[in-house]
Amino acid sequence: MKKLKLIPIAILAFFFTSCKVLCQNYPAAGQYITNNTMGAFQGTWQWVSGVDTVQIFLTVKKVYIDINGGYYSDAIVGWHIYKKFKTVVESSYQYLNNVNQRTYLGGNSNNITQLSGPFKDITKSKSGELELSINTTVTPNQLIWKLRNFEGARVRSGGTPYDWGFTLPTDMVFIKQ
Amino acid sequence: MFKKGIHVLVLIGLIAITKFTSCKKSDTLKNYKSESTVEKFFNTKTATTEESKTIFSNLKTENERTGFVSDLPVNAGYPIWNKAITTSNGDIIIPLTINNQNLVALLIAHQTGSSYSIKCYTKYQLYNLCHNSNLNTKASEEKLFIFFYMENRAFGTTKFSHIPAGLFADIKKIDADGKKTFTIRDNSSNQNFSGGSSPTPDSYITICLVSIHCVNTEPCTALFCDRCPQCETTVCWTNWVDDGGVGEGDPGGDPGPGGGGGGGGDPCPGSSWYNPTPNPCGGNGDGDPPPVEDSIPVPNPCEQVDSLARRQGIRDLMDTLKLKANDPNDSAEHSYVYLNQANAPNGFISTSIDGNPGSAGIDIDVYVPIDGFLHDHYAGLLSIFSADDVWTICQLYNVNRMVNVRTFTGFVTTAKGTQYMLKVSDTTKFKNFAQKVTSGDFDLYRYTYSEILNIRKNASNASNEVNFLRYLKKTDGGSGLKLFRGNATFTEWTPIGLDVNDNVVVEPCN
Repeated sequence: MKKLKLIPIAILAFFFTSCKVLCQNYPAAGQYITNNTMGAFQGTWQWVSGVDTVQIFLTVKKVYIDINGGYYSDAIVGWHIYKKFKTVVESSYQYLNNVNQRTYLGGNSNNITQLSGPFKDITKSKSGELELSINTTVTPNQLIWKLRNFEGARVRSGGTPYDWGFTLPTDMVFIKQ
Repeated sequence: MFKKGIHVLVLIGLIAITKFTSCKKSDTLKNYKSESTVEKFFNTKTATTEESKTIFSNLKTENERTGFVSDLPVNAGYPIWNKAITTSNGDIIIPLTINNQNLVALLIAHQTGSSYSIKCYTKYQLYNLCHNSNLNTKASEEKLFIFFYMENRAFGTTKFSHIPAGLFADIKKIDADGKKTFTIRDNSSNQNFSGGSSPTPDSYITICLVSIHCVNTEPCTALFCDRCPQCETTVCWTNWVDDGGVGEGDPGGDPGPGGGGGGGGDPCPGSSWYNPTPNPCGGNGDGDPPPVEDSIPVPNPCEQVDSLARRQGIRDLMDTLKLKANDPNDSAEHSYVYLNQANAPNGFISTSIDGNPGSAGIDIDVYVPIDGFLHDHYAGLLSIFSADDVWTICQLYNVNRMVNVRTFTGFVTTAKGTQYMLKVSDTTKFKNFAQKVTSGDFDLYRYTYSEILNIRKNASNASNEVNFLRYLKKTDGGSGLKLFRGNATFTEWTPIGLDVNDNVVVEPCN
């Protein structure tokens, strides 16, 4: 009986020392990481509140990641436009489909219904961590936007203190267009 | 058959558990601590006179009592015992060197009763003192004189350059680099002279520095420029010094490479600043240190961490951060930056910097080089350094805000019960990594960090650890950074890495 109790411990111990369970493969130069689970996020999404409108266009692209000799990854790439009345506060829509001028780069490797990745605040020249959770149980589908500062230290030597705020609202619910 | 299968599983599990726990228990840093530093420090080769033998013996006894050698700044060097002096206030000043060609630091021992208070003042600290925006002219000049004197005494050096223009106001001559250059007049000016009332006339020493003005104007025409009296300005420093008859001549045997344990001290400006020859560090000519000197090996990171773990003052900061990380009402990150200062309480000065509540980040304005950066992650944050934390360490290097890249320490304690340190173990790799990480599109690194390597807030500690090690090992050919896992009280640190199969293993320092 005691031996039987040890079985789960033994299995756990084995797996917890096994890299195959814990490690994510580091992509080799030229490698292409494909992902066909992000289709539901694609399209144009819009949030409206009073005079404020934010629209975001998301699409799956094969993105070149220039790290470690360069590798490719399927990712959600996005562009956005933020208006107050008819005045554009900030926009990357003029670069639509230009991956290098994207303002969002996300993936769903952690949760198939949730994207996460860096979002560029154009006005403040900074990136934040944007989580986009899709709700497909309602029609039209919704996209829940949570924009936060990236975790970590920012060092500077003099100059302007780090701006913790964002130009766009940090919490929104978008409707599929 | 089934029963046999169970036995196999149990056996595998027990082996795995044994392997895992045995590593954690036994392969701590203490096992890698070398005694060679102390042995090299107390090398009798240069204790050639009775006086120096006495100093040597007394300090050796003191070290056996307090272990002060292992707390000296890294690369502070080794003593030239027979060049020690005793000053008017009873301080014994011992020159330390690494390469037997110039000073790196001075060890100052003051005897009180049967014990000594020991301080180490590095040339890098001298550099900082003399380049401080709030320049203390008197203190800077006095310390410079002592270093000049000891440099001359130990190595016969007579010329000193790249001295900040704000020092030695009597000397007007400014070099092309905007600094001043001095020469010790000659041996005769550096010997004892009579004067004063105590204790004996020949106990005084004067160091006179001469600045030669080659202005090629009357009365110093081109033909009479050099050594023309009107072209010289002299400044002198006088102090009572008992050199104890410790003898002159050959500085003695090779003190050997390396230095003491602990953090701080920079071997590059430490050995080159105010040397008139082209600054081997490069930089801007005044000895301003570049962040990396590839030709100088990294002091053993394990010994460094081991030494840091024995510093109660540093551990107190870590404890404070841990408490804050575990405070459920605290939603801000907190940090300390510290700078080793031999004369400060606990051997360092520190500044606390608090993050923005709820923002999971800290804005650190660092205007002087520092020896380390300690911070916490509160509940809900990563169990290990974030991508941005690593970026910050790279950026501190890029903007010359590391006292010494080879000894710099990054530290994090988290509400998930983990604590880690990062040290540079390969300066060449780190230099390349830091340049690339901070110059490219950092969002690609963030994406790789979380989306590809899956280092996340909701991932297990073990998963984040192994994947973080992969990030360090493989990103852009390797980061040159070494990770240490600490125990809950910060007293034991295990150097960890990945084996060929990318399993986490204890990885001793080379």
